[in-house]
Amino acid sequence: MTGFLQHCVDATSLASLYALLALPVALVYGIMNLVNFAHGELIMIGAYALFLFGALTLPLWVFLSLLVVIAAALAMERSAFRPLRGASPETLLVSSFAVSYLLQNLALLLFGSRPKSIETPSGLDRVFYVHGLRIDLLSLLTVALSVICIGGIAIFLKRTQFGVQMRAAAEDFTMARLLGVRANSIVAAAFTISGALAGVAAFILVAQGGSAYSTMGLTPVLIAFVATMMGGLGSLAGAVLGALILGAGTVTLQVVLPASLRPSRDAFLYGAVLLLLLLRPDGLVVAHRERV
Amino acid sequence: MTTLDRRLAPLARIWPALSLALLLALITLGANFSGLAVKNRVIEMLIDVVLVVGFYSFAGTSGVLSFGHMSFMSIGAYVGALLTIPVALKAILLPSLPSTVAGTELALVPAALIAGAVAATAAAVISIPLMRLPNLAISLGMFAVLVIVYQVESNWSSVTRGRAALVGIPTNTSLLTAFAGAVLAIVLVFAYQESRPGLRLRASRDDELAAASVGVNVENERRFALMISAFILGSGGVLYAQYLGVITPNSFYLDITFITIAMLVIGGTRSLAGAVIGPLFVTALTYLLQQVEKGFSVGPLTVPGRSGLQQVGLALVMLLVLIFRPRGLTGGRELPIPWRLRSPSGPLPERQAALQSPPSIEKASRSNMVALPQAASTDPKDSQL
Amino acid sequence: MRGISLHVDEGELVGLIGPNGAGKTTTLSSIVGVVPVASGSITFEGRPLAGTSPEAIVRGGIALVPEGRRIFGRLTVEENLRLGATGRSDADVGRDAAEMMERFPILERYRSSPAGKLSGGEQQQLAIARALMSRPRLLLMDEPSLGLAPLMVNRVFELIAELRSEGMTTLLVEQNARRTLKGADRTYVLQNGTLQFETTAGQADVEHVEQHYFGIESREAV
Repeated sequence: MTGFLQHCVDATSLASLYALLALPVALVYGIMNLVNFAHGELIMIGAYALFLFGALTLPLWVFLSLLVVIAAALAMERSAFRPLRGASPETLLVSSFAVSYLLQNLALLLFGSRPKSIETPSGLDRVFYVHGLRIDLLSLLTVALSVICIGGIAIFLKRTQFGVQMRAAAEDFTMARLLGVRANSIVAAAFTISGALAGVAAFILVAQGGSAYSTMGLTPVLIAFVATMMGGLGSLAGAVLGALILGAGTVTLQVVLPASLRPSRDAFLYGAVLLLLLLRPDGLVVAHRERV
Repeated sequence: MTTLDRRLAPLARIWPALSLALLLALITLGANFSGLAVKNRVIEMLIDVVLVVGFYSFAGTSGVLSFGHMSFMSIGAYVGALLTIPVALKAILLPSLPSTVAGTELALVPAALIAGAVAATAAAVISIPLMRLPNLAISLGMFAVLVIVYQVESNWSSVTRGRAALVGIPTNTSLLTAFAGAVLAIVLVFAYQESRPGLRLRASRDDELAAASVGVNVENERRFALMISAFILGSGGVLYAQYLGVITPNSFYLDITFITIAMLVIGGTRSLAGAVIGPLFVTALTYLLQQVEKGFSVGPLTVPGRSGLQQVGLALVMLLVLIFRPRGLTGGRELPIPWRLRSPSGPLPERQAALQSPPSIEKASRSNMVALPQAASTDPKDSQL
Repeated sequence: MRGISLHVDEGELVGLIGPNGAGKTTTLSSIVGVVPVASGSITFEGRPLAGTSPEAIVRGGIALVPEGRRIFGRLTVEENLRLGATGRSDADVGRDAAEMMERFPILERYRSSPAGKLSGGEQQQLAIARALMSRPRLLLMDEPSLGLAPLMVNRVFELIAELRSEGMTTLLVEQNARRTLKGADRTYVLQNGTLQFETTAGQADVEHVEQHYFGIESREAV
């Protein structure tokens, strides 16, 4: 039983991280039809920022890195995506792929191919034992950060007037504009949120892995894509749900697979997702049907 | 119609493929009499043509840009490697291979055909669930497939040597071989795109709903196209493997995915010419960027070189194309037809038609060289009310 | 579209009728800035609208009730209403929302439900109320009676007449030629992208227009 509970603990932590990855991708897609390949590179930028500012004290270190990522997200939107606003989702996807490749190789150019090691602040590697369950502080922090961020965004979208505008824009961008909602403000807000969440994810990944490297955005963005696909490409709640399932699925596979197959765990996971989509091509969350 | 016209008319029909083959022939000829460096670069370019034409046969005809096509190249390359590495070497490198494979040693062509077939089979299986998804999900789903294939290859050490390099592949890809491969790919894809299934798929590219409403089974057409695409990419993978002599899973991962997509986008996604012009242009561009990478001086100014500039430069060019000329260098058109092949009484080639009268639906469907008329060169803005 | 020249004076209800594909929606789209104008000008209260973004045009005193209603199905009725007042910063928004719900009781009943649950006619009321929330000086309506049951069509045209008597300046695009011709101060007839005719209401005029432009034999009023 302890084993099962331990796995639940691990799954919760992983699932929360995945949700943090999926939410901004689903949000930006919902508003502007852009599946942002380069979101992984925002995380990468966050990690490199944490590396560069490593000498600073804790609050400043994290805060400045966060600012850098948000600035990068806004710059990305302004230079690469705004000229393409209104283009087909496929065009936007390809261009985000180009941005992603560009940023990865820029990082390679600037920092080289060897990972940069980042010292995690002492104290973050503390481990608690509760009833025989091993809970590390970082996992707790991950869950806490995830809940705060996602909860905060949910409240923002539901309770503030600007949040209502964003939800309206996500449903019918043109009509929202025709009521006076400013397109640029909505998009900027979406990218700010993206940047902020990417920064948080970067912090967690750096705390876990201890390094920054140019290809570190690949796996997170793939997770975000698969979760968004599972959620049905339009639904924020669906993407979060998809992320949770992926997190639980990853841990389950890690436990269930024989040792020889474990390195291919992700292959099994995505294979399973593809099979799932065979049954429900429109995703797990069925979209609202309007009364005629 | 004069006798001359009647004889030349069939030439006009195959002009898109013929023109590209002639272009490549010229380049190959030139390379043949050049130094080793140029020869190698042209061989790589010709292999790229095979890959991008293979990619185009799905992405260009259906309009769905998948991000995982290199998984087919990967599968083909590994199958080809396993079939062509000399038996004695295989016994050392991969002792636990099943005996049928361990004992086989094939030449390039049969290996390429088998590899292509295996890749096509994989495509058939994957496409059963995949093509039921909406377009974007197909693109992302294929990306997941790429990752799956990469992981399987990296971990299935008994068959692929895992992340270690699979060496000892005979290097039989000469200039002529690569040229032949490129021309065959062009011919195959041209034949496909002009065939009934090909035309049906291209119709769905421009208007999925309209195509479905006239009875096109979009899902099945896409499945078929994916198989053709996978076959070409799989065989292309063998060509590539026999050029390098060594492969690892990383040879078929992100970098080559990006380069092939960039080549098609820059060349022009909607035409076969784009799939050939793209690699040509990008090869020239990367050559230029490599010179810049080495560092150069302009007058009093010395620009130091840094490696990695190539990729950044290519990505920038691709973005610029997407923003300012989304239809690519060819604009979705095939190479223009020369005067002698134009017949005054036969179907009007695209240029003459455009000059003389506004494009009509009849002409567009009859002439396979016309991309559907577009007033603006950018994707239509969201102007729906 | 070519050679469109029309004007709406303050307080007028002007109709724009024509068959499908005549360009009625395109006309409205170009006024609100969604479709670019190739040549000519559009001015509102003396200011040209060309090149302005839709958000700016709408915040400048024009409101649109679009074809197909286009309410936000996943948002509540109340959220939809308040979105109509996006450009406004004053404190009266709440009061106006309350007034709207008084005027359209169905909105009050469903105020916290997702707007997608409303029927077509109810959504049309919401769309009109939403447009009115911005206190527009010009109201553009695109085929408000489309797809509605006859009872609802009556209600919609009654509403339009009410608004007219309250002094609202309206440009009404419609396929229902008869009702429009009867209710509007002036009506333009659009066909194949050009303006064919301008008329003022009157029974004789209505029959004339119907016969010559739509080939409809005159019948007793429905």
